[in-house]
Amino acid sequence: MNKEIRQALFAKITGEPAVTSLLSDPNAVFDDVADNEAEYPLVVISKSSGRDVQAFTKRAFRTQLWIVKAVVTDTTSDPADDIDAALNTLLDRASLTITNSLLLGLWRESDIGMLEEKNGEQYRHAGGLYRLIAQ
Amino acid sequence: MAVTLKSRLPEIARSLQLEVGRELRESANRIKDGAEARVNLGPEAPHIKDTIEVTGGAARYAVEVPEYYAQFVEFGRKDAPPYPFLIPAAEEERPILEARVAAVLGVL
Repeated sequence: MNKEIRQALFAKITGEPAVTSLLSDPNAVFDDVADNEAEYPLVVISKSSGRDVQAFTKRAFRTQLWIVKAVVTDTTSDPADDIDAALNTLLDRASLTITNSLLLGLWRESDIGMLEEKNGEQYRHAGGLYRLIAQ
Repeated sequence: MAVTLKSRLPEIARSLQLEVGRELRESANRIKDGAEARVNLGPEAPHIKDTIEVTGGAARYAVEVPEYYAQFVEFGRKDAPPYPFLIPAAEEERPILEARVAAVLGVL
């Protein structure tokens, strides 16, 4: 089911021009970590945590938190914040088609913002933790 | 016949703060333990595992990781995937705390 959820998030993000037009490439969306050769700006999605909620004899639903963040190399946070805002518009309280599963809820729960410096470059991460509940 | 009514509200209010506060403190400690158990041990000290701390008191506790690079472990770097340790520990604890606080409220 994690695979299907990840695929659904990828399809949602790569299918939205308001997001992809801000990236280095329309397919610059990565699973857990960007490729070494990837150009910035890009988006990384990763599952942060998840647990099953049981009801009587079976699982009632799954609740998960997903990291969805933009990474840019820039001296200001503006480009990363713009992508984060587009992602928020796309995903907060949104619908999502998941193979063999029913989405019960998807919303942004908190912000992620980090500045990483490496080899004289600044990499700015801006995104959110998104709660996803699915049956 | 005279009936005297005595309010238990002051006693309940006192117990509420004590009992719920105790549950919150224990919950924060369990989150700390869970985060310590999950976090990867790097090659060199200081290790994130050794810096996780519970702060606060009374009815408000926080589990904090002062090390600057802990955020990159939790959320990932440009060239490294995330290894979430604190949020999964908090998520695992959430239903436990809810059940334990509900149990406290039930006996007051």
